Amino acid sequence: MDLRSLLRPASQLVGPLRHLAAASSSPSSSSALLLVPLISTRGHKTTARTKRSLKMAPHDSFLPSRSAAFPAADQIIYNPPASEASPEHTPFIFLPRNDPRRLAILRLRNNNNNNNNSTFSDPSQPSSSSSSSSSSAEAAAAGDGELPPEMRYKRRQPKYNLTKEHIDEMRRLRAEDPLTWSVQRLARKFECSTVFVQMAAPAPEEHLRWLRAKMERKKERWGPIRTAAREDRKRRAEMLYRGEL
Amino acid sequence: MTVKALRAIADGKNGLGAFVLQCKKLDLHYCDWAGSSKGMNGFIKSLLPKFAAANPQIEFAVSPRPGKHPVIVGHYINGRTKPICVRNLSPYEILQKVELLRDASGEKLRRTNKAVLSTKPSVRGIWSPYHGKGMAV
Amino acid sequence: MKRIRPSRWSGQLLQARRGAGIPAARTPLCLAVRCQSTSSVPASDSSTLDSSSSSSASSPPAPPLPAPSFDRAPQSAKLAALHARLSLSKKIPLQTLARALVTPSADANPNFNNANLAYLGSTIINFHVYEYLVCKWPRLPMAILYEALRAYAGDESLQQVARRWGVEAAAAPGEEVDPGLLQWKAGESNVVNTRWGYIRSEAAKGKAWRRGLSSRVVLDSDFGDQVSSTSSSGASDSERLEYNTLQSEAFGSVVQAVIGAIYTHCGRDEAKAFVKSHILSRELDPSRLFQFKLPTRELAMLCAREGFEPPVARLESETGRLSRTPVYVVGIYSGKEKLGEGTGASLDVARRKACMTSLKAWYLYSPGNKVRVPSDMMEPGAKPWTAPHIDIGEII
Repeated sequence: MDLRSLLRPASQLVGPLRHLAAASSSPSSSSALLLVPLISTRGHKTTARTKRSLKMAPHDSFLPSRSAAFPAADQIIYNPPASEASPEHTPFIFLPRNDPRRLAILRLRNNNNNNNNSTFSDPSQPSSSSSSSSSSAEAAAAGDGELPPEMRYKRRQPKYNLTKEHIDEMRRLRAEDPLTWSVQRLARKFECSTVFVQMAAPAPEEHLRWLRAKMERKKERWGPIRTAAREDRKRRAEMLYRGEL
Repeated sequence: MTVKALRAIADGKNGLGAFVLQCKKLDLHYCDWAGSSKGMNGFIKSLLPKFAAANPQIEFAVSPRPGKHPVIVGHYINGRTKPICVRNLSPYEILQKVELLRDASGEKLRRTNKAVLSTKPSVRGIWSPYHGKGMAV
Repeated sequence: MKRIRPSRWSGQLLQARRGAGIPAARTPLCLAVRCQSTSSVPASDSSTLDSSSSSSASSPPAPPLPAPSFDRAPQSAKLAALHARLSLSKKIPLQTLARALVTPSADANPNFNNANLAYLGSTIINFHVYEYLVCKWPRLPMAILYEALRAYAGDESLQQVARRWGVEAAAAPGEEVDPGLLQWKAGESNVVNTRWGYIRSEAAKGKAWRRGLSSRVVLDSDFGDQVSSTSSSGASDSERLEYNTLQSEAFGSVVQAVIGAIYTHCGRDEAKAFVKSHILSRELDPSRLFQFKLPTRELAMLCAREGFEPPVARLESETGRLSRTPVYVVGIYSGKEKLGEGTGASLDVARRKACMTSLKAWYLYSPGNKVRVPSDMMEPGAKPWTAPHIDIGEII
């Protein structure tokens, strides 16, 4: 980084020169190329040079704040990691009541709320109020109410709208003609989930057997590619649940 | 009950709880006749009893090998051996070699260019571009 | 956990009754010749015994002993080196260490093999590992708890411990072998049963049918394995596997027997310190043990049980949605609280991963790295006991 900051003035110096050169000679690209060696960069040909060039000053968030007077009191440098939170950091609501971490996070949140209310805002330290990944940072961010957008996926939304008559009706329809009154259609008609239909009004045995045979026939028609893809998908799901993916 | 358990074996970390010396046996071979064994014979006579008493963890086996150079072979817990030829060395030089064999771990020698080798995951996690606030360059 | 009755065990071990568990096949002459290991005879005494044995054995050619005599233990350099390598106390005689190296497969006589010491040691190991696991990770589900116990104190783990102590097996057990080598051979059925449990009545109903997990505490072995009435007889299909299990059992029994010997000769605290430094110091990441089935449903059940708001997946960041390699970062929130997050190449995978990390965050709650365990109270001058966190149980 310091090398870059050193280079920057040099390039700024060179910049106007390059413009001059471009103006004087018509094949500007070639002249610019000629001028490039003016910025004397040595390749990092040794370990020492590589190390020196890669040595960077720490980020400001790692340093104690300069706003306070010099012999400042003890200060906690809060710098959440730019990484995925590990499950080793127990989230706030998973902590049991008597855990000291719970009390500490509560105190931190109260402090943050107080700070926000008292219009005290330090522009040099925006970290404590910005949303971040780790659970403790999240604890600080919880007061803000800025949560990422909800995802759309199928989830359980119980309505409890069905009575005994409805279920009897459902069973009657299913037994009457399982082909037309499929699980999907019954679920749509009674506004319930397909799982509920399968539990409340199971199809007759011969219909299930017929469905299974139909599926078998369908599977037989699959080619090697599709079969392999299905098997791979199953294997991937297992690996995912084992935590290997 | 939807959680199932996978099998694993805990890894041993020598020195974390108890330390077990990795050198388990030292074979000392000497020759009564040859001149190259002169120092070795002196070592066995004068220095070895004290050294063996100071290191009871190691099994010492002294055996003649007539007509050959003197050799010290270290046997290690990981199954490897480390032989050192000690011809024409003085007893104190041999003592240094024996101490080297005692302190060795038995692993192949390899270059270490990292100050710390850890099996624990990093405390701050692996850097990810999708987390944190980013850094202005 | 099975109840330990140390007083009874140590008493029996210290003065094994002559002729109590001796099979009829052994000749009484042989009995008179061999001397007990754990009685820690002084050197002069052993020499007299040795001389008497040689004199008495000279007249009729006695059959060779199945394992080396304990009289030769003080002469074994390997044994002395092992004793020093483990920094065992002087109170533990070399004869006991020699006995710890004789497995029941080599010498079936329980007065001369390590079966009793190993059983005593296994109860001590399992007790200390269990109390550590339960106090350190109070929310581990039982299946994981059993596997974590096995990862520390199972035969494979103890075999590694024994091998790192430098224990070597003799090519074949016999009288002439160095007593510092492990005496075992494959293919011998265990004469002394060291596994305690009940034969389940439902075993007749078939292999697939098994009662709930918590019945394993009472009915099954320490690792939650079913105890079968007949020894496993599947040698034809997996002989190699059989060999490996027998081998790890033999090596593991050495570690257990050494700890049993420490308990018998030096007492409880020494045994605890030894278990702590040699077995509990091993490294295990319990988050590797989990295999989930329906993480999303389990997390919803957990939140419902604990009275949290139902979990909601939120998309935290994404990149390359229309590319071949998209990355989605999904967080699981309960109300405003974040429970966990996961990264994946599809929205569904990322959501399931996030659910799994949230569940792991619940299960792997730990009160801290330095937890107090119940056996800490046995030390003199211990601070008053504060109850550890006790979880109400797993999510069903």
